[in-house]
Amino acid sequence: MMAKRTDGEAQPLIFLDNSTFAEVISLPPGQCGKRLEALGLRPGKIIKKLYGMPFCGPVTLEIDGRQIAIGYGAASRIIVKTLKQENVALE
Amino acid sequence: MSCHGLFGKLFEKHGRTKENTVPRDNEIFHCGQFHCSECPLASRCSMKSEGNSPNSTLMDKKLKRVLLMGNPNVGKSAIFSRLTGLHAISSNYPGTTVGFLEGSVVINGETYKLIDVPGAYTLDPTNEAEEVALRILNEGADIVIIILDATALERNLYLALQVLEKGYPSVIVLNMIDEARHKGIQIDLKALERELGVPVVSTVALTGEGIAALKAALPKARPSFLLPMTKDERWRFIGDIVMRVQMVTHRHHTFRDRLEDISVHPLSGMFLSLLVIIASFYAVRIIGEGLINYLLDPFFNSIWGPFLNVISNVLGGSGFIHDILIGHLIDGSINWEQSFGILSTGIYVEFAMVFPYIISFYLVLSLLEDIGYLPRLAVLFDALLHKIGLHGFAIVPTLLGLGCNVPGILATRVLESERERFIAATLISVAVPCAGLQAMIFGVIGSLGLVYIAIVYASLLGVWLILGYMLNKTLSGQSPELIVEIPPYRLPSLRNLGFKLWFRISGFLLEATPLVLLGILIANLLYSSSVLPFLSNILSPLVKLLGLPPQAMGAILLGFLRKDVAVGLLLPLGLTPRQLVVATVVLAMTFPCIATFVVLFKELGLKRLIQSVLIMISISLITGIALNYLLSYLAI
Repeated sequence: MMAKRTDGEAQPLIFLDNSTFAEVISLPPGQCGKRLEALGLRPGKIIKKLYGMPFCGPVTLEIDGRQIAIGYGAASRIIVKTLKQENVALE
Repeated sequence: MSCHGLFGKLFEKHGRTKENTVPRDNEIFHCGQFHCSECPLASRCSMKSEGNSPNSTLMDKKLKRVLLMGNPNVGKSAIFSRLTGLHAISSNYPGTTVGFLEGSVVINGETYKLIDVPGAYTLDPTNEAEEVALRILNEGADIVIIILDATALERNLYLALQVLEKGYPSVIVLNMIDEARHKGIQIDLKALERELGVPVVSTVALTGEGIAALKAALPKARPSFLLPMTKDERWRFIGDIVMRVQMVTHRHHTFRDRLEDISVHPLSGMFLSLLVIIASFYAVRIIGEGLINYLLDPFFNSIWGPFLNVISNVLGGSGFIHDILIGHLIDGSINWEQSFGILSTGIYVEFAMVFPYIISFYLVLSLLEDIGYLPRLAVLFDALLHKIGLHGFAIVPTLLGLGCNVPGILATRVLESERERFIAATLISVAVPCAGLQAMIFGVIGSLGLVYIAIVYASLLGVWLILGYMLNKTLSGQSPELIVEIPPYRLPSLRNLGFKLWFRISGFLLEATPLVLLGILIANLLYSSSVLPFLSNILSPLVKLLGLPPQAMGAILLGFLRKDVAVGLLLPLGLTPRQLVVATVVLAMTFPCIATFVVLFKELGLKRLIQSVLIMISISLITGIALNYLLSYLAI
């Protein structure tokens, strides 16, 4: 089992705290990554994680002012880097 | 010469759209591909004589093929409805249009053939809808109307650029411009026009704002100067465009933002979904009962009843024709539920028992669809649905299936894999009762007490979960993950709601009426012949295990035509509550009704259909037998 990492380091999206901003580092390969990319999720984009549902439910996040839900399995393979709140010029 | 002209006219005349299924290779779906020599309607075709004249090619060329393309849920179907005046089903969630629709629009005397293409995020297909979209585009277009969601310009531009790079004459539409203003997003249309090299207009399809401007821009469509780019170049270019044409100003959070937040919060979201489900259930019941008590029962008792009495007297009160049309008189008068004539029980079951609930169910469902609540349910139910091999979005076909299994199974096309579609379609036809069946369950079992209704629903829910779990464990492969955009909440437009309700209700009336009447007719013929006793004899060991009288088998077999009529057939048998519950559950789960059967075949293919039907029959018998023993053990 993976340990939860500290802020500023790259970590899977599922471990990111709720209501935090992060930069997308990498997406899962293959079809899944393509579908995420189609929704605007690309390396370098800034996202805000809204909630993670219990019982391995999906993660909801905000990107470019839109809400997206991503299943637990896919979200665990998206690597993001936490950003400090004051550095984010998203809204 | 093709028959465009004829069909264009037919469409205008009937004011209906023709919904096409997903085209497969070697199949001809719309008339534009027919030639008169092959056309089955050629002899009746008013265009044929003109078709042989030298003007025929001119006439053909007049019909320009116009594609409506864009990301899912940007309002393509709403714009299609606005332009053609036809009724395309549109809802506030991605993937409403899974096949494609076509209609025509006349602008300045020129007729355009308009095709509503399924939503796609990219021309590099990631699902079936995108494959269809690409195929339609590759078949060629005279004009492409590229519709963008003004609130998500960056993401929407990706598909737009891909289409523009192909060099078709195009017009860009920025839809939901009101929504963008609300979000503090300003877009410079002129600047965007310069960047892309094609006309740009803004619209609000729900209210009709900007549609006139779009019509005016259509003749000005032109190819863009953009050349093909690589993926990275395209994203970089999009970044530049957005920086130059879009300005975002800060705004404060509104009530709607908070409501959107509450709906996907793990705790408050669950609480809200519980409230919504309970409220929807009560709304369906209250509206349905209201229609029955204040409109339909009075009509049947004071107008239709006396009218049938007159006919009954004329026919002499008995005899073959009387029994078929009016049915058996019970204590000297017509009994709506038990007489079983085509004009008595047949009409009554459909119009006074089922129809009111069809109206109320679709009203509530359409409202939830247009507000945009369903994708939120998908998020909340994702974890549970994963256990049965589906992901959260499967909740949408399942809810549609509660109205009628046919649109429910068609909607499984939004699911990505064949495995998921098989599981979802099988579960819908086994354990999701349609509105007609539910209305009859309430009508027939409701009088016995709520506990019996609860037993029926608990059995269906239990089977849905257990069968889904088993299918997920036994079928090879894995189901894909939920990846879905959650649209903002929107106030539903009454016009769209009315359209959609009318479309669905008229669809029900057209398809169900002949089957209901045929079902009653066949039931009458079977009961007066020796076929039923013969079948019942063969099946008698089975019937004994289920604890039912042999005649109940006739009702279960007739469920193939219409399940609601079949439940009605159980009434005159004088069953005990336990028998009624067991028979209803078996009827609900076993063999699908004929309409569902056909659509299962179309969607899954023969092999999967047979598997699905075998599962249904065995599961229904196992459940029926288990329920019979359990209930007798509990002395119910």
